[in-house]
This record gives sequence, C-alpha cells and structure tokens, in this order.
Amino acid sequence: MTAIIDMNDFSITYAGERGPVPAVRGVNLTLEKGRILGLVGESGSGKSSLVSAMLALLPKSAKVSGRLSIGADDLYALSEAQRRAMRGQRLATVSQDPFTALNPVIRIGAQLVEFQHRLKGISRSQKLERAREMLARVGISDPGTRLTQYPHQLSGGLRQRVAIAAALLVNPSILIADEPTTALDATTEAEVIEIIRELRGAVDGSIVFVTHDMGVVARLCDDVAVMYAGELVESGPVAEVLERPQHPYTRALLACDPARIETPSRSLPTIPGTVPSPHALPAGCIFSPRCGAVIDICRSVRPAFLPSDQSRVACHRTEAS
Amino acid sequence: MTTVEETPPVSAPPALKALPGWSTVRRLLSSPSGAIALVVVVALVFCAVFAPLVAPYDPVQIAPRIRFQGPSLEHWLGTDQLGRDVLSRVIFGTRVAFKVALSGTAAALLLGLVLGIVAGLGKSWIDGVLLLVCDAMRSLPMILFALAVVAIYGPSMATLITVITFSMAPGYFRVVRNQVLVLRNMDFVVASQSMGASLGRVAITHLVPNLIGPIIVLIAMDIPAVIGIESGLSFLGQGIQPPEASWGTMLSDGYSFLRQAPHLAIASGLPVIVATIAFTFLGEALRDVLDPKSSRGR
Amino acid sequence: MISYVLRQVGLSVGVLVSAIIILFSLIYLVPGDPATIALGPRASEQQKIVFRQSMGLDQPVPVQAFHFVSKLATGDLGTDLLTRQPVLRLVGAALPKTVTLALTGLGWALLLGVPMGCISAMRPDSMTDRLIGLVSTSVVALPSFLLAIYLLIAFAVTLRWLPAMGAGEPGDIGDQIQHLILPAFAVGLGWVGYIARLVRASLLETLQENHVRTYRAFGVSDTRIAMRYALPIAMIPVVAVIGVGLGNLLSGAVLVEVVFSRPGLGSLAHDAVTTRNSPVLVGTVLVTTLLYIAANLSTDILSALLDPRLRKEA
Repeated sequence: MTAIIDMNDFSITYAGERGPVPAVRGVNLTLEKGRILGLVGESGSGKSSLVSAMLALLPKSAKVSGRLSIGADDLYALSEAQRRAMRGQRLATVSQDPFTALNPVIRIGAQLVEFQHRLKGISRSQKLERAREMLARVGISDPGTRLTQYPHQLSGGLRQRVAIAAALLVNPSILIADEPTTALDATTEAEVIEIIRELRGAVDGSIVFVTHDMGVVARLCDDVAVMYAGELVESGPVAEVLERPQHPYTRALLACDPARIETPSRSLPTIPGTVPSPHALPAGCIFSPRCGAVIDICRSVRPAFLPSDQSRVACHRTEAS
Repeated sequence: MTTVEETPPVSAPPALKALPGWSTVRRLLSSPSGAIALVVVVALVFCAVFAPLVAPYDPVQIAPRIRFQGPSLEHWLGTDQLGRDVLSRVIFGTRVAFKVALSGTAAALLLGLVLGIVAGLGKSWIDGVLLLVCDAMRSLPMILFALAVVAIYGPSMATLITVITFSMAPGYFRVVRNQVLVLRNMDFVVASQSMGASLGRVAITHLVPNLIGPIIVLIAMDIPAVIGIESGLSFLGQGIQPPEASWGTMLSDGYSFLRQAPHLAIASGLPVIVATIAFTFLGEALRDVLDPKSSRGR
Repeated sequence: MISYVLRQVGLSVGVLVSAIIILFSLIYLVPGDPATIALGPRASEQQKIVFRQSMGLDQPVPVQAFHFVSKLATGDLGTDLLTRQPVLRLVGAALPKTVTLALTGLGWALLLGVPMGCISAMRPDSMTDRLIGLVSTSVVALPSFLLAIYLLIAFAVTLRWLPAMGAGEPGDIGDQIQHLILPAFAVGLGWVGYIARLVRASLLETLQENHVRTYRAFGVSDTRIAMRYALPIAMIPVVAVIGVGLGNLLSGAVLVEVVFSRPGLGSLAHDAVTTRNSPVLVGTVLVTTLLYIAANLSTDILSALLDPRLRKEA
C-alpha cells in the first residue's frame, strides 16, 4: 500500500489581529491509496483549515510548518504555480454548501466544461458529452437538460450531485468532500452518501470525507481521524475506533451520537465545558480541562501521538495502560 | 423617576452616540488624506474670512497698463484683461463660494430637517407624497433646471442660493426621514414618550445625536456639488454678476481670452479643483470616522 | 418579475407627474407679476399683455394647470418666444446631439473605470490599488466644464492634437468623432472615478463568494476567475446605476457643450436664458427629465434581467 496523503507534524497558524492564531497544531496523519478517510470534529476543531491546506487554498494570512505530502510531492515545498497545477487534476473537492458552490449566472454545462480545463486535446463538445455522462452516473435524470440550466433551477440535492460529478470529471487522485451533506435534509443526505459509496471505485485514489457525524463515518468510511481544538487526538480504522475508542474525546463524541444511544433518555448527553480558544490553550493535554479521566500529568505534559493496537492515540491514559 | 432610558431594550440598535468632539478630529487627523484635506479646508475658510487681509491687492482695482500679465513675483497668478490681480480675485472668490455654499446648505438642511421630521412622524400618505417629490427633484437635470429658474426670476445670488437649496434639500430630507423612522419604532422612544416626555425633548435627546454624524458627512460631500453649480452658472453668466469676483465669472473671463492668456483660465480653475478635491476627501475621511457603515446612497 | 416591472413603471410615472407639478408651480405661481419679472421693468404694457396671453397667464390657475398638462399630453411644449417655433422641434433637434455626447462620456467612463476597478480589486491594498483609489476619489466631484476648459487649453490650444470648437463637418463621421473625443472625456471623467470605485467594491465582494473558491479548487487561474466568472456578477449593480449616471452626464454635457461651442441642449438653453426665453428652458428641462426617468427605469429592469436568479419564471 502507498500513502497518498502524508502529514508530518503539520501546523497552520493564522496572522490574527490579536496575534498569531494556531488553528492546527502538529498533525500526523497518513492516508493509503483507495481508502475513504472520515475527518471528524466539531466546528472550530481545525478540520476546515486542514481541508484548505490539503487543497492548497489557505488564505494569505496563513503560515504552515511541518510537512504535507500529496503522493511523492511535499505540497508546501512547491511553488504557488505548481500547487495550483495540482488542483483540478490530482485534487478535487465537493464543497459544503451546494447552494453557493456554483456560479449563479453561468449555465451548468459551461461550468462543467470549465472544470475540465486541465484535460488537453479534447474538444468542448467532447467535454460537454463527458459532463452529460457523468451527470447520468451520479443519478441525475435528463442530464442533457440540466446542462442548459442555471444552478438556481436545481434543488439542493441535485446541485450537490452536480458538484460530485464535477469533482469526478477530473479523475482526481484525492477527492475532498467538505461536509457535503450538512446543508441537505436527511433523505437527500442518505442519497448523496449512497452515490459516493457507489462511485468510490471511480476515484483512482482516496476520498477524504469531512463530517461531524459519526453515523456517516460508520456507514461510509474505512478510516477515521478525530480532531479536537486544532489537534488530532485519535486515528485508525473505523471498525477499530468505533468499537474500541481509546481517547476520552472520541468516547464522548460517540456517546453524544443520537443513533448510538441505546437507552433513550429525556436529554441528549453533552460534553461539559467548552472548546478552548486558540488564544488561551491549556498546558499539557488539549482536552484536559473537559476530560472525565484526567490525571496529574495531563495538565502539564502534552501527550504524544502513539500507536495503540491498530490506532494511534494522543492520551496519557492509553500510554500508561 | 424611570430607568427606561438607561436600559434600552434588546430591539434598540446602537442608538445613542456621543456628539462628535475632539476624539473625532483626532481620528480624522490620523488618516493622511483626511489630515491634508482638513488643513486645506481650514486654509480655504481662513482665506474666505480674512480675504481683505490675505489678498495682496484690491480685487476690483483696474490697471489697464498691466493687462494680461503672466505670473510674476508681484502678481503670483498674473493679471486679467483689466489688469486686476488674479490671486486677489481668487481669494475674494473663496468668500463668494463659501457664502453661497454655506447659505444654500444651511437652507437645504433646514428644509430637509423640517420635511424629514414631518414625513417621519406624519401619516403615511404625507410620507409617500414627500418621497415622490424628493425623487422628482432628484430627477430634474440640475443645471438646466437652474437655467430655467434664472430665465424666470433673473440672475442673482438669491436665485442661485434658492436653486442650490432645492437641489440639496432632498438629500437631507432622506437622511432625516430615515433616522426619524428608525427612532420612531424604537421601544425606548415609545416608552419615554409614554412617560410624558414631550416630542421636542425626544427629538433633541435622541434625534440630534443620531443625525449629526451622517449630516456632517453629507454636507462635506455636497459642497463640491454646490461649488460646481455655482461656478457653472456663473461661468454661463447666470450666477454671480460681475464685477464681484467669483471663481465661475473668472473662469468665464479666462475662457473669453483662452488663446491670448491661457494662464487666466488655468489660475481661475485651480481653486475650484483644490476646493472640490479637499471637500471630497474630507467627506470620505469623515464618513470613515463618523458613519462607517453607511454607504453613499443614490 | 412582472409585478416588479409594473411597480417600477408606476413609480416612474409618479416621479414624472411630480416633476411636472414642480415645474408648473415654478412658472405659474411666481410671486408678483410673471410678465414684469420675465420681461424686466422696462417692458411696455403692450409687451406684457402679449406675454400674458401667449403664456395663458390671464386665466385662473386651475385652468392654466389644465392647459399646461393637456398640452404636454399632446406633445405641445409651447412655442419659442422669439422665433415662434414649437419648442418640441427645437428640443428634438438638439437632444440627439447631447445624448450622443453623454453616451460617449459614459463610454469613456466604462472604458477606463471598469479596468481600473478590476486592477484595484485583483490586488487590494497594493500601491496600484491606492493610486487608483486616490485618482478615482479626486476626479469624482470635479466639475466637468472646468475639466473641459483645461482639456481645451492642453490638447486643442497648446498641443493642437484635436479640434477645439464645434461638432465637426456635417456628414464627415471621422471629423465628428475627432470633435467628440475631448468633450466626451470631460463629461465622463467624474464617472470614471465613480465606476472604478463601484467595480472595485462589487468585484471584491463577489470574489469572497463560495463559487469563486470552487473555481480556485479546480485550479482555474485567478485572472480568469475574476474576468470570466466574477465580473459579470459584479457588473450587475454597476448597470443599475448607469441610469442615474446618464442623468448626471446629461447635466454635465450641457456646460461642456457651451465650452466646446457644440450645438445641443446646452447651447439651446444658454441662448434661451440670455434672452429670457423661458418656454424653451422649461421644455428642455421636461424632455431631459423624461429621458432621465426612462433611462433609470430601463436600467432597473435591465439589471433585473441580467441576473438569472431574478429572471426566474418571468
């Protein structure tokens, strides 16, 4: 197996008005070819920054350190032009909000042709035909008509299918789906997940699926990586992590998933406390202020991200055991 | 007696602002363009007020032997077709420009204030009619309208100021009316009224502080337009009448002798350029300081 | 969409009627004797009587108002006091010349203002952006007739690159275009600044939108995204203000015509005001107001049509 994404002590810092904001700190993560990774975390956990970093779409105010490799290339050792050359060819994305992801004043067909601009040697009409075929593959009826329509004429679910088709059109080696179902209702969400599952074979590489829903991870993904407050706290195969979560935050997250609660109660369980602000991070373990299993060392020493069974976990308690 | 005003309800927008004071001036001076614009405007005001002291010569003193002289040490901007000192005429022209601009703006402000309060507090049909009239005024081509007024009433400074008043009043009317409507619907105003505060008191304590910022900005932005109308009409001979020195009449003289003595037209145009640009930049800087959210309305 | 158009048309008619009322009150509700005011104190009694009759001033005010409006409705704007020609014919002959000048001015404004705004928005806060911002703000409020005088001195009198006076030989298109360049630039320069600032703000806002990120994620170049995909959206609010612009440009064109001795509404009005020929002036104002309101209405509708989101189920 070959690693298609490899992050080594990767960090992202934004230049904020009140000093630097360390949004992502010391992430070590590897994704093998052909697998679907579920990247899980609450809003503000740094997963969106990490997605932007993988797409080389970070704003100018962001500084990165460590290494992020796509295949054999160290992404942030490349020039800006070389990074841009990877987008729309080896990297493709499906954005969070299908309602704003497409240009409102351009027909769908013209947009799908533009997204194939890296494909040399085929004509515009051939690109249009590819687009039509791809729309059919993602289950859109009457794709010929859709090509001549404007985005606002399509429902949210249809638009997200168009966005998935757009990403697949470029044969990416990495498809990054950034919470593609958050803006959709439950039925449409299930359909979109089904499409991605069916089409995973069409991606000649790997899929990163960002979500905050452990249920979606269980249904779709092979691997899972859990982020909390800018740090990766646990990663490993889905079966392993969901069955035997090692990090207290992963456990808490699973306990909060309504689908997994066995005995119904009047209120949903919540994690006490709040996510620390990146301006005032606790010393030691990032989760220690909210952790139910905290011990002395947690408050002073940051736990290393170490292998434990088939997973990797950043927790003093698992190191101890 | 009551604590209503001290604890405005949640529905109240950030209403009570302090009146602009020294802190405003300090923030204004912190932007380079605002600082330069303010200095230029102050200098222009100084020239207008102390014109007889600042001007090196009598602006209407004729000296036929030194006609059409180019700029020299004695006459920095040269002399005109009657041998009058151009610089002195420019300085006295500042006085005329400010007289017209200030009286026109003051009258427009008063008219806009009264009508704006009437529209904001009155019945909705009154508001509708006034809005329509205001839109109609704005759709009149200003220079042509001014010429039509002059053709009926004759050219004079009074006609000029009247035209300027009517052309500027709709802008103030809109600002005042919108602010009155906002305040009228705010709970604490309703509350203080029901507590027996008179309408006038409500207007002074709530309306004035909210209006003063946008109005100062509007005045600064309007003055270039007023100067444009005044100098344009005077250029056509339908505004300020000779021999009084106004920038527009001087431009008209300069235009007549464009080929013989181009320095006349160039020199007479300079104060117009300086004043319009200075007031525009001052208005922009004031808006950034006093009224950051409002954009330039139509 | 249809209800939107109907609403705008209704509003426009309302504004036009109000403008007519304002003009009517101006002429007929003059304090004192309009004939004395119009003809001056030295006019003979005979002249005043003729004036009153020709203007219908010997009738009661409501009758005058009725005559004024009913004549307007049939396109009768009154007659020239000196030549006895119908005002409509005079204005009709002058109007196309002024509209040509104003539209060419608008052409200058778009030709320079749109690229300036784009360059600014592509590199916000750069030196180029600041310089363009400084220039734009400076020219926004400059009176166009003053600019016309300076251009005349620089390019026609001193450098002799372009012709100074008139509108060019009738029938000679090339000559007419040469005569149009300078006056149109003077008319349009203020709007160069205005459009540059508007395009900058609008484009910057559009470039923040999510679909721009999608295109970047597909590796489309920033310039292509801005020009091909963001600019059409950013231009929608710009088109909406062009109607307002045409009105301002017409006003500016009036004075510029006088400076360049071009025939048109400006020269017509200028000649009329020196002879106190008020029907000509009132007619000119009315026609220009109508034009302005029509231009505003059509750009409002046009900008709604340009946006497929609003065009929905038209």
